[in-house]
Amino acid sequence: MATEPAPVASTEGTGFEAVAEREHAVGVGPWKLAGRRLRRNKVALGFLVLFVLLVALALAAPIWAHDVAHTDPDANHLTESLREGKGSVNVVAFSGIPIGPQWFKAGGKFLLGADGNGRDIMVRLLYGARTSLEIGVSAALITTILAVIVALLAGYLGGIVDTILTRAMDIVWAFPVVILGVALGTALSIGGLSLGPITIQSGSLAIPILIIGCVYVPYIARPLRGQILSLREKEFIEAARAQGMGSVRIMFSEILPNLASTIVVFFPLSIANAILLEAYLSFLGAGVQAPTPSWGEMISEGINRITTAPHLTIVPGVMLILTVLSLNIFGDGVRDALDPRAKVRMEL
Amino acid sequence: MRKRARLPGAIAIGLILVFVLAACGSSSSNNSTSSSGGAASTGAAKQGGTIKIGTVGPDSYDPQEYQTVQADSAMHLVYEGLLAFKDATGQASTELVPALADAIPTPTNGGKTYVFHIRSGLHYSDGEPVEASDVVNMVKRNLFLGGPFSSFFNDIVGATKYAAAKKTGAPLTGMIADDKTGKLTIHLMTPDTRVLYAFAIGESGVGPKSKAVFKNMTGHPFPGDGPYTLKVVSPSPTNGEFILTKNPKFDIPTIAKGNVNQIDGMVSTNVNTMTENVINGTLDYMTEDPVGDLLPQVEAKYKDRFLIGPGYPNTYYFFMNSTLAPFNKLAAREAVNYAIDSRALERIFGGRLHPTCNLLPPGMVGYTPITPCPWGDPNGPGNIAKAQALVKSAGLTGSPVTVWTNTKDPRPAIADYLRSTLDQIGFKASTKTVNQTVYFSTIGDPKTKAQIGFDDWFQDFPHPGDFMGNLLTTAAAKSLPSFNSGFVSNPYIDSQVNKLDAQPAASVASGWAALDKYVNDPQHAYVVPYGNEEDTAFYSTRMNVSQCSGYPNLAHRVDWSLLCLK
Amino acid sequence: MARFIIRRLLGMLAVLFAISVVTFTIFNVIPNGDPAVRLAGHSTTPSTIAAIRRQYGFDKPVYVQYVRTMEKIFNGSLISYSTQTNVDTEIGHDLQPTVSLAVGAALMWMFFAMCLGLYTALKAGKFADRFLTVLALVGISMPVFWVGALMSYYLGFKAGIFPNGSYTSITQNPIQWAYHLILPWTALSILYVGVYSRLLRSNILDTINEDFVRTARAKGLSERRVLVKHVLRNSLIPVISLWGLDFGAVIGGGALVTESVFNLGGVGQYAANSIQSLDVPPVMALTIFIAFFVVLFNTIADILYAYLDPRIRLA
Repeated sequence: MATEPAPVASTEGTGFEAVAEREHAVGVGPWKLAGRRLRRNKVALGFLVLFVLLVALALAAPIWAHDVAHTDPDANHLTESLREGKGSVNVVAFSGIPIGPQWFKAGGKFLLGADGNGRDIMVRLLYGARTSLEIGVSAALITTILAVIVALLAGYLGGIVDTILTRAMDIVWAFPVVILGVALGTALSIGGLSLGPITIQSGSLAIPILIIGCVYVPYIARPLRGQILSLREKEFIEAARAQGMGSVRIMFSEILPNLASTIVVFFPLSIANAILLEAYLSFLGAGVQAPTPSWGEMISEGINRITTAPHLTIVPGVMLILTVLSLNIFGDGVRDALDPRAKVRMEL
Repeated sequence: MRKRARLPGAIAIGLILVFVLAACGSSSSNNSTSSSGGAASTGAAKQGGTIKIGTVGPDSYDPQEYQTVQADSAMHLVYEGLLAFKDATGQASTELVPALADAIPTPTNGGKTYVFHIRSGLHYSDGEPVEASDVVNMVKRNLFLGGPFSSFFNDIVGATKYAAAKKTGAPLTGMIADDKTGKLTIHLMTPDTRVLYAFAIGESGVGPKSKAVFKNMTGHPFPGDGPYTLKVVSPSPTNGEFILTKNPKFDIPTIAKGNVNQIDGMVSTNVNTMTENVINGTLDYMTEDPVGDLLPQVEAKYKDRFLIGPGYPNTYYFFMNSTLAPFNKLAAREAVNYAIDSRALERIFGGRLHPTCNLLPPGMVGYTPITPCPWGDPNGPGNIAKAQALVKSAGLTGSPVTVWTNTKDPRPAIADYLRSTLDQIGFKASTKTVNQTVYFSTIGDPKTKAQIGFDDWFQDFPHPGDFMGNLLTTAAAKSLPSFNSGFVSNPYIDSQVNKLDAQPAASVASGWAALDKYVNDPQHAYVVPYGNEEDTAFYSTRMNVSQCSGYPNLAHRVDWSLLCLK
Repeated sequence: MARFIIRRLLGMLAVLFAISVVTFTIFNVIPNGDPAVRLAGHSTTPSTIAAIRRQYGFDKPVYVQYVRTMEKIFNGSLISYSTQTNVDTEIGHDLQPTVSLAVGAALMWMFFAMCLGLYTALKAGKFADRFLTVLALVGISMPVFWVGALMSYYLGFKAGIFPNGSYTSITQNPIQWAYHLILPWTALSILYVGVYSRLLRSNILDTINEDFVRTARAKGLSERRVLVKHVLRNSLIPVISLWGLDFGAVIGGGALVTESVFNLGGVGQYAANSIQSLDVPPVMALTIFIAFFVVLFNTIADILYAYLDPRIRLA
């Protein structure tokens, strides 16, 4: 088994590119084979392109807001009106019903209409993409790093450490993730979080990121631990031990590289799940706090107006699904290419 | 503040019934138009029958423990106290009438002593006689259990001492009952005419002392003395039921006997289904306002059985914490008052808000519209430029401000409007949203250090002291949680409230009006009142809406004892 | 086997105990407002607050409060702070919609997942397989509240085919019961069919190449018989264990979003409402209730797994 350096996915979320680059240095190995397989998977590559496009849209949010729509994601336009033909039309009608999609009639302003506070839906949608991606990628990183540490400690050290960590994971595992997420999100929404010297303000994005990052740890750590248990018995580990290598060194330089393919497989799926869970939490009021735009919060607001303006529900939902779907399909492709037998139970 | 019961709005979805509306709207509006003509005929209200009322339910079936309007509408029919509000609609419903007492006493001893006489021959629904000592028992029970309205009795001599004694049998020296003659003497520490109202609200309803024991009895309601008796079929807040039936033992001439024989309270958290059921006649009335998209549709389609207007007196305002930066500076408070545009907030309320410049609501004794409003016409735009200049000259540009609000629709939107406006005038604002069930206890705790945010007040009883005393006095600021969310402490306001409370409100109405003007003039600007909300009543086609809607009732929202069938 | 079961049950109790402590800590240590102040109401004096503290036992140390709360959960006298109703009665009342949702949806998603999994496995690599795999992933990627809301709007309102949410008791009217639950069952199934059909597909593809299948074929059994008796049966074993977990989670209220969107008034919705209003007594009872079902079905699934899988039984 080759023990090449671990190709940890880059933060841009396109884990595969990082993998592909390293291939040349190693020569024809499992990674190269996987790369070839993935390149043949046109569906997965197609959705990767879609995901890159969504990232580009998120990055372009300020450009759209300032140069086209001329507003901020949070700016209220409750009493303003748009000139339309000869007359003018209120952004929010006196009865509280907001304006519908204007497309390019108003030069890009209110392209997709306004919400109940007279905020530009299109602008909020784009900024919502930033929120989702920021939370998705950061939470997935936290999940992965914690899961790897927990799995290494539990799987390699075994004994009492294993028992304690496995039981702790059992506890998290016994809560449905949405319930645990909502409970933590609600409990932290008033006072924020202060752990020793670290204090996180209650409105901060760091709270949903931490919560989402932590609740998924057992779902990744369990299969990794299983893998480590079988690796531990392998000859090359015994050889390393015989050479007098310390536990920590064996864990990180001998075992970790062998987990790389599994980690790479899980990473895009973790981002997808984190984005989806963020939407659930925001829908239940325990995720991203106002006025930060988030797709989950936009959907839950939209549902209250579904009969007069169904697009307020549909549009953020479609964006959310496209993002999650592109990650899921790409992640599926990576798994097929790298490790077709890897299974992970991720759920909401 | 009397609360409106919470709707589980955060996650209950408002779509279900809109659909039904569109589906059956045209046909039922035809029906109702034709039938309402007949109902308008004059004559005594029809007696008898059973009606079903949809409600999110009483928060408790213990008369000393509930605090929502929904609970009060039902419970005030079951438990009568010394006094009551007249069973009427409009302004007349704020009038005090004697209930268990045979008359409303005039205070003696400089306004500190009240002597009541209990009517003779009254009985509870279980046959036990009503006695003067039952009233003392009610007050003790309230103090011992720490009921939400127990503080109304704190002015009675010995009340705080009794509460502190933690013993059910400890003496309450300020109340002397003589069961033989029915005489009840009450001594106050300071003259305060609000005590009459404290004995008139539904939460002062009494039960027999043998059964009204000193624990929370919401699971086992005790017998009452009102026109209806209560039976709780299922206490579930999501799918419960209670039944009110005529009380054969009831005999108080000043209180309405009730027109219908039986009222079934159908408790559910789903206001959408509730509205649907009123439309199709499964329910005859609902205690809730149709939510979200539905309200304008119901308003348009069922004009003849949907009533909307300024009902239960209330004021919506923003509190500003006068003990914390930046709102400890007058300029900052003035700036917010200048900047707020009530027309924007009116839209957030879906047009159901009447802009105001007063803290006291219309319909309240002492309400005199402040004209001209020092902050500009309440129906006109906000003065952003002036506000910006004030913030700048006070050196507050860029000060961080957190706007507090709660989850109930449309309060997050209200806070977002305030945040956006504060940003516009030079502050650096963010919002914090707290669940509605814990909101007021959170902002009312000085440790929270809430700077500014959403606030409202629905009257407990029709007396201006209920607004001024609870919202702006030093005493209120010191209680926990404080409803003086801005922690305003001004000796002039304190002395005026004490002085005016000692007199019957109507005789010092101009004094209250002057105080109302004082608290929000450009020298003080303690609060930002922006509007009064309209409320609604929605009935089935079976109900005689034109003659006995029971709406608007300023004490109970709708007086169920006035309802009748066609 | 008996020892295995006993060990699992003891482990279950330990996990439940730990969970109750964790939950109590989350809601008592993290500052989120003094419950006595919240219950107090109006212009309260210190003596009122003290009366409430005494009435609810907030004046006792945290561990005493924990023990009292746990005692009350098990003797059925726990009262909610915000609605003042008996928590256990309430859970019993809300159980029916939740069980109805869980049983119907679990059967539905298992049935469709079996059809879809078998079909895609047989067509592996063909267009139909790829297309259905993408479709399954679409199902996994959709938030259930969004699907539910749109279903209610378009199927319930616009087309007028289905009722829009709320629950009718099965004892009251079984036909209306099923009619009201079709949309919630479907919404929940869309998510799980995606997960299960993909899992089943990959299991079938693994099994189909195993020795015992080849032996069965060599024995001259019909292809259909081989598929159903040998391949499908063996592929289902790991799926069953996952199914137990998910079924337990839904019974325990894990489908709180589905329950809330369709307003079924079940345990999950109660949990969501209680958490949001920081109502500690029901949150405690519900957490234990939920975890109990998750762990119970997890244990049952493990035992079933050991029973069904000949390799584990032999070992």
